[in-house]
Amino acid sequence: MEDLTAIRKCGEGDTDAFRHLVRAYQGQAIAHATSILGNREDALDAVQEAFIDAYQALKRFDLSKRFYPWFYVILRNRCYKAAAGRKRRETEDQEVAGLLAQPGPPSPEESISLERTLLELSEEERELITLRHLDGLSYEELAERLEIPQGTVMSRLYNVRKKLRMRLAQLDFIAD
Amino acid sequence: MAVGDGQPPSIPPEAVDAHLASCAECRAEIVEMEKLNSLLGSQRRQIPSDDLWPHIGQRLDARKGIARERRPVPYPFFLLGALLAAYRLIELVPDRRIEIVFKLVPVIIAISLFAFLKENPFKVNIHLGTESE
Repeated sequence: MEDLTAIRKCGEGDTDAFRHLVRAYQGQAIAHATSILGNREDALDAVQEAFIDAYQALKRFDLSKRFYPWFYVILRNRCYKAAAGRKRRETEDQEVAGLLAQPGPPSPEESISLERTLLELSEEERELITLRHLDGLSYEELAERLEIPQGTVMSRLYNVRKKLRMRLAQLDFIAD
Repeated sequence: MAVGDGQPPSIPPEAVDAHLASCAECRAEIVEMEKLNSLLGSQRRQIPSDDLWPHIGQRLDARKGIARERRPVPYPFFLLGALLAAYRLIELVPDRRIEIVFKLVPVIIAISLFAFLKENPFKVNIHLGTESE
């Protein structure tokens, strides 16, 4: 079933058609939510809530657009609500969130260290850097996804990278 | 930054090249950025295989069931009930003071309407929240 057909059927009250959308996008939605929240359990809750919100808002969906970028706005809204509602955990106590695929180069241990470094960033910073580098989104796509001007995307990326570079240099990942 | 990122720069490429030829600081910045890009670019996002549909489907069906149960309240009976309640309340007003009646009846009608429409006026609209961000 195509997304548009599923969305139309959902509009007619067919909840079963929504299964197609959930199964098609739940993987990347959980991955993106984990990037923002840095925690798998919170991410699973946020994704579930976001899909429920999306189902209720589907009547307002513009059929000329793609589903996932529209859904992503709902998802990140849910994630930031969840992030605001929880106490920020100490990085030292944090387990690996499952952000990066294992084993990642240069070595699995270094990949875990890199993930921990990413978890030290704020939710907004982690979201931006992972969308750019793990998903390969262009500045234009980032601006659309995050609903900010391209200039802001560039300046934020510059600041996050600077921060990340300094931290990675301390860990001898890259020379500063 | 756009150059190091492989994105089209906002100024002509010739101007970028001319600047880079004379600016060691920017050249060093691009090298550093490429190192970071290479490190992050070698990573892949972990795509989980969890299936959330059983929970989501169950919750949607439960909501649908609740909506179906609530719907068949017949309008005339509801209105009759509201009018009877209003009449009973007016009877309780001491000395049949007419100004109290004028205050009470609109309130009762408004409450009945909200209940009939099943619309919570204090409900936060998530979509509006999303648009404003």
